[in-house]
Amino acid sequence: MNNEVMIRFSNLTKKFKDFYAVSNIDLEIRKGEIVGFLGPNGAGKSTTMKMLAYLLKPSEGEIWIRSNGELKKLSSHNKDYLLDNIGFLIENPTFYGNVTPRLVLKYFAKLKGYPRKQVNKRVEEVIAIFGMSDWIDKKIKTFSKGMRQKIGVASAIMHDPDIVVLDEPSTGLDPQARREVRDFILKLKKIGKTIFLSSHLLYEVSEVADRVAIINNGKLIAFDTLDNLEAKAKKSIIHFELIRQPEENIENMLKNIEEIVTPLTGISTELNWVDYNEDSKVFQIFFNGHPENQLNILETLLKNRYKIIEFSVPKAGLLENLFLEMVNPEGNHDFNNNSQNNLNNLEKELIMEVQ
Amino acid sequence: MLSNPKQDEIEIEEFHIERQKVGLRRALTQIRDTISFELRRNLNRFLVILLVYIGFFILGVLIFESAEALGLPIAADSAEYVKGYLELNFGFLIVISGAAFGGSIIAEDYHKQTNNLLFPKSRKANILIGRLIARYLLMAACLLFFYLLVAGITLINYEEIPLTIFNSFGWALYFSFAILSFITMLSSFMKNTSMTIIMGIMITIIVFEMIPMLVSMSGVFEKNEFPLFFVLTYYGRIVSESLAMPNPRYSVEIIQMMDSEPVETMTWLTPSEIGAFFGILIYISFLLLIAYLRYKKRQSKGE
Repeated sequence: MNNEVMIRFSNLTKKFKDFYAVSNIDLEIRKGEIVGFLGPNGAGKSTTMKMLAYLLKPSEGEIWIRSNGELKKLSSHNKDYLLDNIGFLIENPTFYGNVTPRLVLKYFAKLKGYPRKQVNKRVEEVIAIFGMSDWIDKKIKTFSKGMRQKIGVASAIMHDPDIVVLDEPSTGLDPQARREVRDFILKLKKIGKTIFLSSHLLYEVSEVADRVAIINNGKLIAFDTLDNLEAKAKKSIIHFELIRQPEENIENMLKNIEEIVTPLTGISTELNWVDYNEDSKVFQIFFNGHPENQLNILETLLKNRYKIIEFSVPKAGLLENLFLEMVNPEGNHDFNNNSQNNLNNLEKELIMEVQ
Repeated sequence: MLSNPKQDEIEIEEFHIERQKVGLRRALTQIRDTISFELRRNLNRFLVILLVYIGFFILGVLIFESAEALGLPIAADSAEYVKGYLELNFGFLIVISGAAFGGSIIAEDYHKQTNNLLFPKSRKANILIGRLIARYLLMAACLLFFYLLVAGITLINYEEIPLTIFNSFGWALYFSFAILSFITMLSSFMKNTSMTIIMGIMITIIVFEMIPMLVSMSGVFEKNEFPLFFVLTYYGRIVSESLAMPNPRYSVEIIQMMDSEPVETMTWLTPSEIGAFFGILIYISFLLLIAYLRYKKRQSKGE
């Protein structure tokens, strides 16, 4: 990664009548890095992506894109030239149902000026990356949502662009496919591609991004490296499971755990420190993220005869708390639900791995 | 861990390809590729429409053969025989095929959200031109097939094919492009393909046919002395009338209401060739301009 700016948003704003979908965004994406664009649904991620793809015209501000070594302002006059080196996947990709991936990907590659003689080979290569070679000549209308999503990602890189813009690339994918997409994004980075990845899934972003931009209500509220953001967060979640699942008196047990761990969490807010999910049988403890506190909590639990079989701190937890705090500074966030969604996703992935 | 062996074997190669430069040549290539893609994509639709044409031709044959068997007056010459087929259902066929091929031309991109994938890859003008050409080619192929069938049956029955059938075919091609342009314009306003098809058929078959009647009833033009140049479907009449030009362009009728004086009124049968040429040209230019501007601007409203 070097410091050469590939994309720059400068005071980028999009207004629909009186509603600001995106407001005064300043952001720089450097060559070879993966920038995660994180925000809840409706935060303005897709609108920003659409402005970058020139599907929407900014109400104010500018977008600058590097082409042939020079950073140029995106306008209607040079959009074809500047966007030629970018591959886009905007929102859920929708294809014409009665065509095959081979036909549609060939068409897209040709539209972007990919050498005609190499198009067939390229289509087969890209399809193979996603493990869909057997489906290359099947009608897209027979595909699942996840398969269409893969074809969408494939369509973004068909013409071998230097910059790849992916808007929610893991939407609708199963854990296995999500991992494939994630690995693929890392492979793209490895060969020097610049990636701008939007998602509302913290896990997706935290796994791959070098820097994370957090957007809420159309405004950029944070933009930094993962390490720096995590340092700012200083809060995290412990997940643990017991050998025997508690069958009754779970409320008493929670109360007891809360009493013994509250002095050890290192934070003081009005939130519940301890929570339990009946579906996944996982306990969660909200703490400050310091390893010392983590160790103390574990020791205390063991000392109190809790037979723990699994004890972990998912990395996304750090970012998740920061994210929740930032998007909702009032502290009125749905901590448990969001945590649980990520936890469920994690569990699904683990199950797939075990299988 | 589950993984796809094929995927593990494949590493993304780092190489730099030389893409075709942006410019006129790329634009022409995009149009050509869009034509090729659209021809393949609309193949099933083409086959269905072709079957409809064959069905209507068979219906025509049955009607004319039955009429002959019943001793009803038959066409005096080959030109009149061909005209019979064209007046029977051909206008309807053009409208049906125009709606089928043109209904999805713009609306589909917004309805199915295919725009997000497609628009960053090509200029909308190139997409629209490519689609129009492809769909028009398919429509023209249907027309040609129908004319070949009619020419064939005329040859069997009259042992000759009227040379004016070529004039008629030329006008049919020209007029069908006007219908396709109209449906394309409609498609740029509509939210989905089905509604475009339904509205397109209804407007061309019902609304356009009602306009002359309403104008006549309103008495804006005394005696209806002005040709119906503002009605798109009026130009379609030249397709059959061109088989025996020069025809009278209008007929004069005397209409008498209950207590009023008898009034002479003109019924316009066909436009002149020069009038039809420019009338259709103006219509096409106007309709396609609106369609393009709508197609270009529609995205900005966040549709």
